[in-house]
This record gives sequence, C-alpha cells and structure tokens, in this order.
Amino acid sequence: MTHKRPKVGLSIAMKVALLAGSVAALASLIVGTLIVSSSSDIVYENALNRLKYETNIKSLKLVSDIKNLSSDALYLAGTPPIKGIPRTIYNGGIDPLDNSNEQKWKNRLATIFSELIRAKPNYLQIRYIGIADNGKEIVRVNRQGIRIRTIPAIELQTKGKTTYFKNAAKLHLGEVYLSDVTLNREYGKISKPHTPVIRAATPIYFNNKVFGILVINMNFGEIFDSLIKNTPRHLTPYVTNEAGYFLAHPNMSMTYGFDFDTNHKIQAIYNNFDLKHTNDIRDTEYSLESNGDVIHVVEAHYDPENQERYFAVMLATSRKHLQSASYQLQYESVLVMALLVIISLVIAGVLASKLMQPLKLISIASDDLAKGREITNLPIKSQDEIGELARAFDNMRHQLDDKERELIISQGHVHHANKMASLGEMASSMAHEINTPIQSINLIAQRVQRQLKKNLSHEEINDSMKKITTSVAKVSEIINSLRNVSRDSTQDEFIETRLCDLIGDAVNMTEERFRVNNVDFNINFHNVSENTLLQCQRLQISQVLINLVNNAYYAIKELDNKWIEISIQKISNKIRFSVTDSGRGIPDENLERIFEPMFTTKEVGDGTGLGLSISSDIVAQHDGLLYVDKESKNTCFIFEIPIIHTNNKKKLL
Amino acid sequence: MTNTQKRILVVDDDVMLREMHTSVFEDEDYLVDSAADGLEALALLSTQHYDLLATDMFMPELNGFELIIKCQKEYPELKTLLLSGGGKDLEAEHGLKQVTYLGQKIEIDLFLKKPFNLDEMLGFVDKLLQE
Repeated sequence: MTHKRPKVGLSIAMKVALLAGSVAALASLIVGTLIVSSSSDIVYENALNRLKYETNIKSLKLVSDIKNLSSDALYLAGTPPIKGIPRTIYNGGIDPLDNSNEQKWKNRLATIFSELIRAKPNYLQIRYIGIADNGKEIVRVNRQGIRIRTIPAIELQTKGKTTYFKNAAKLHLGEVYLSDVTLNREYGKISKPHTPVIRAATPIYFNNKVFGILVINMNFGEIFDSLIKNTPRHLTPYVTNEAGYFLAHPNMSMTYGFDFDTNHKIQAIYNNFDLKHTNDIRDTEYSLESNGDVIHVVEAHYDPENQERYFAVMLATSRKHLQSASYQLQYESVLVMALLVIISLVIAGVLASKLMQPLKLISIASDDLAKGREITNLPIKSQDEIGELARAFDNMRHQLDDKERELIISQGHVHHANKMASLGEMASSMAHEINTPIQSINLIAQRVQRQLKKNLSHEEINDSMKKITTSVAKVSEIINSLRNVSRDSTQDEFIETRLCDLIGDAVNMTEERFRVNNVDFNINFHNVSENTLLQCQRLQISQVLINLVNNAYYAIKELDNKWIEISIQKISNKIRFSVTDSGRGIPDENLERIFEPMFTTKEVGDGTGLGLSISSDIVAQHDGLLYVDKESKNTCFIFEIPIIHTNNKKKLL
Repeated sequence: MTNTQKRILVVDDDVMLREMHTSVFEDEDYLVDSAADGLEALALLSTQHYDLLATDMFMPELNGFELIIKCQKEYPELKTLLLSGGGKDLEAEHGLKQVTYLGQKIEIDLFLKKPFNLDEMLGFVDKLLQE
C-alpha cells in the first residue's frame, strides 16, 4: 500500500539530517579554522626550523672538515721525522738517536705524507717548509691526478714570502694557521681546473725556536660540491666568505668573485643583505627575508685562533615554499572537514530516517484513520517519546472511535426524536384511522350478539365475520406501518425494496388525514414499475417521504386548492422521487436555510425544525441529494438515489 | 312497530361503518338512509324529513360538526348524534351533550366516543326518539 502525500518541502528526516550536517559542518569549520590558523604558524615555524637545522648541519660539516684538517696538521707535526730532521741537521748530518741521516728522515716523512694524502681524497699537498733559506721546502708530496708524487729536491720551492708562511711562523706551538679559501695558484697564476684550496699550517719548534712550518693544502671544492649536491631541491645553498663573495653556489661561475675581479656577491641577489648585521660575535646565525625569499645564515667560525673569520653558510628558499606546508595543511583540513560533513550528513540521515520511521508509521496510521482503513504497525511498544506519541495516538483513536460511535448513536436519537415528533403530528389522524375499523368490528360483534337473540341467517353471520377479518387486517396494516415508521432505523442494512412498499408506508400514515382534510393525494409512477427494486434503508427513505409529505400538508392545509403528488421516475441508474404540493414554492429568503437544522416556519410546537435537515442527511447517506426544484411553479422537493447502493460506509456498529 | 315511523340519517365516509350503522338501526326497524359526507347528507335532508342525524365527525368536504351546526339552523327538530374516535381539535366526552371543536362550542343530543356499546347507543336512540 503506497501512501502518496503532497510534496510540501523537505521531509523531517531530511531536515534533521541537514541540521545535524550543518551543525557538524559548522563545528568542523570552526575547529578546523582554529586548528589551521594556530597550526599554520607552527607549521611555518616548523618549516623554518628545518631550514635552520639544515643550514646548521652544513655549517657544522664545514667546521668539522676544517677542524679535521687542523688536527691532521698537528698530528703530522708530532710525527718523529718532523723532529728527526732538525735533530739530524743540527747534529751534523747524523741523528744522534738512531744514526739515521737527513735523507732517511725526509723519505720517512714523505711516506707519511703520501699515506695521509692517499687516505684523505681532498688533500692536495703536504709540505714541510724550513725557516732556513727563506722558507725553503724540505719535504713536499703532491697529489697529481690519481698519482701521489714526492717532489724531488731540485723542484722544491722557496715559500718565505707567502702569507701562510709568515703567519704560521709567528704562531705558538700547537696553533694552526688557516688560510682563506682561494683558488689554487701555481707560480702566481690560477691553476686549472679551478680548485678552491684552504691551507692549514702549523709551526714546528726545535730547541724552542721556530724551525719551520707544516702545511696541508686541502681541496675545498669537493666539500662545497657535496654541500650543494646534498641540499633538497627547493632549498638554494650558498656559502660566502665574510665579504659576501660566493665560495659555493649552485652555479659554479658565480664563485670566487674576488679571484676573478667580478662582483658576484650575495648582496647582488639580496639587496638588503648585511653580513655584518651585528657587533655581537655570539650571534652566529640569523634569518632574513628578501625578494620573497627566506634566507637562514649560519656563520661557520672555522678558525679557533680568529673568531672574526667565518664562512657564511646559508640556505635560501621562497617564503611560499615555507608556507606551502601550511597550505598543504589547510588543504588537507578542508578535505577532512568536507569528509566529516559528508559522514555526519550520512549518519544524521540514517539516524533521522530511523528516528522518523515510527513517526512515519504514526503518520500512515493517521492517514489510514482519516480514510477509514484498518490501522496496523503503530509503534506503541517503543519505549521512547515516539512510543508515547504512538500510545497517545492509539488512545486518541480509540476515543475517536468511541466518540464517533456516540455521535452516530446520538444522531440516530435525533433522527428518531424527529420522527417521533412528526408521528405526534399525525397522531390524531392515526387515532381516527385506527378507530374506524375498530368501530366496525365493535359494531359487528355487538350486532351479532343482539341478533343471535332473534333469528340470524348463516349468510348474515358469514358476512359479518368477513367484515371483522377485513377490519382487523386494516388495523394490522396501520399498526405495522406505525411500528415500522416509529422504529429507530438509522443503522438498518441497505436492502432491495420495492418502490410500492416505500410509497406504501408514507401513504398508510397520511392518506386518512388527507382524505378527511380534502387533500388530493396522488402517486405517479412515470417510467418505472411500482415493483422496481431499490437498494436502500427502507424505513429511512419512507421517513424522508413522510417528512416531505407532512411538510407539504402543513404548507397547503389552509389553501383552497389542496393537492400533493408523489412522482417516481427512473433517470439512468437512479430513481428520482419528487414531492410536489399545490403551494406556490418557498420564499427566496427561506430557500437557503430550509436544510439547516432547527429552521422551521411552523408554529411553536408544531415541528422540530429537524425534518428537512435529517431528510437531507438520509438522502446523502444514500449517495443522493435533496433539493428544491426552483423551476417548478409549485413547491417541489426532489431527491434522487442510485438503484444500486455502493456500500463503502464504515460499519461502526 | 312504532319505530317504523322514525327515520334516521347515517353519515359516515367509511363504507363499512356506514353499512354497519345502517344495519344496526335497520335491525331495530328504523327507516335508515345513509350519506358518505356532510354535503350528501344536506342534500338528503332537503328532500326528506329525518328524526335523527347520526353523523361521523371527521369527513371530507363538510365534517360532522359543521353539518350539525347547519342542521340545527335549518332543522331545529332534528335530533343530533355525533360519533367520533376523538381528534386533535375536538373536545368531547362520551355520553355528554356538549362538544367543542376548534374552540367553538355547540349543544347536541349526544356525543358517542367510538368504539361504543351498541346496546347503550340503541337504548339512548330509542329513548330519544320516543320523546
């Protein structure tokens, strides 16, 4: 059974689902926005911290590489040949400790240098340079391609004028001079391929005087290369010296501006870049923003002897990139929120429809109730508020049934009372009518008694008895009609009834009165037999006819010309009854009101004013309509009812 | 047979009652005529002398009450007997001489309420006509 109801907007379930969904959406929007706004800073901070961390790692790596270089220089300075050589020289060519000669010590030292160069791929050259002879090299081992070569004595150079020599010779024992990183030069010219070199030099003391220095040249190019290669793609690494010249740059041609007399400095990229931003040397790192980039700078102080020397190690990235993580977060948050909203909508929808199911059942039940169908599936056993509602509804339904039953009973009572009222109106003529045959019987009986004393023929007795029987039959007929009409018949079945029986009731109840009052009373069957069957509540229809005929009588009893006519006509599948009297119709002002209950034009006590109203109800019960024929020049009431009654009325009693 | 000289007019719209009334009076050897209503009765009265009018109350055209009023005017000697089962506007008691209909009061010789005792009625009629 489908229950189609008019579409009047969204269902409650839909509304609840939407409401819950919107609440969830709002909640997740608020929470999401709060989280995103508070966390986007954190996320940005986090990204920035990663940037700082990466920069610091790179800086530490540089410092550590240089520290290893210094350690190696100090380590070499402590190896036996370093002291063995001056000891042998000052002893006249023979070492007093083990009788080694100078050349033996030089060979031993060259072997140590070679092994170290072999072990450290970045080491280019290790030298032992003496103070004597204006800084003449004593031992020198070079890396030449893949080979390691100990330079023969005739190729050794004088380095007394070099910066590193001068500076290292001034140092105390255990101190290391570190040079700037510059491109390697051979005989004053930049050698190719361009090789950035740093030199670590430490003084060698013998007998408390400086005997010479030990120098290691290290190739810094490899270190910078790996620094640049090991940087994540979205970060741009730079290393500059204190002046801002690039030592390392993703584009090699930008480096060593000071050696090539170009102006490739960090300041050329970031205008407001100030490497000397602070005088406090403890500030070894800082971040700055320029040209939409965020740059983190860490000063890699590689020279323990001079804290003002450093490499500026920096990683640059666009501010957008740093924020992209928080954009990512926002994007993901929106996705999660959308997902939450969808999930909550679905859950709310499911819950709401589940919640609404019993309500729907109640709604179906009330629809059934309204249409008079049987009510099933009322969720009265549910323990929640809906169960309460269902129970209240069920209770109400039963009360409604009771009320309807009471109403029908009391309506029946009203009908009946009205009938009794019209019966009362007819009582006098009824009495007269019954009295007449009774008087006949009475007279016959007494006459027979009297005549029995004389001679009374069988014929005469037989005749008298016939008259008594006829009279009794007449009395019975009248009494039957009276009993029929006075009975409460509002709940009678619809049964097939001959038209003449319907008319007969009305005639029996009224004809005597009309006869004595000179009312011409006619019944006309037009195009229909008086034996035609009509499905109806016989006495109800009789009652309507009696009502109409009574009304007609009241209307015309004072007139000179008194007639009433009932005519019966078949029109398609209906029977039309019309009751016409000799009156001149109903005044217009009353026409609209005559079917209202309690409306009467009769004198007080003469009528209940319910006749037409009830008649109208009865005709409606028969799926017909009672109306006044306005076309007729006389007063004419008409009602038509179907020959076959489609009984779809609910049986309540 | 003294009764043979007495002539009675029976008026009743009911055929059977009319016949019965006629029969019971004839049984007592009265001369009896009958009429079905007041107008017919007046017609007979104009052609024939009657000693007693025994009329029903409720009849078409002219009822018994109105008939009596007319007769009392025209035929003051005529004895009048009104027979009725009683009716809505009729105030009358069995055996009395006074009858009120629709507020109008008349004197008659006797009012008999149907159904009445035949012997009583015939006894009274006999007495009335002996006067």
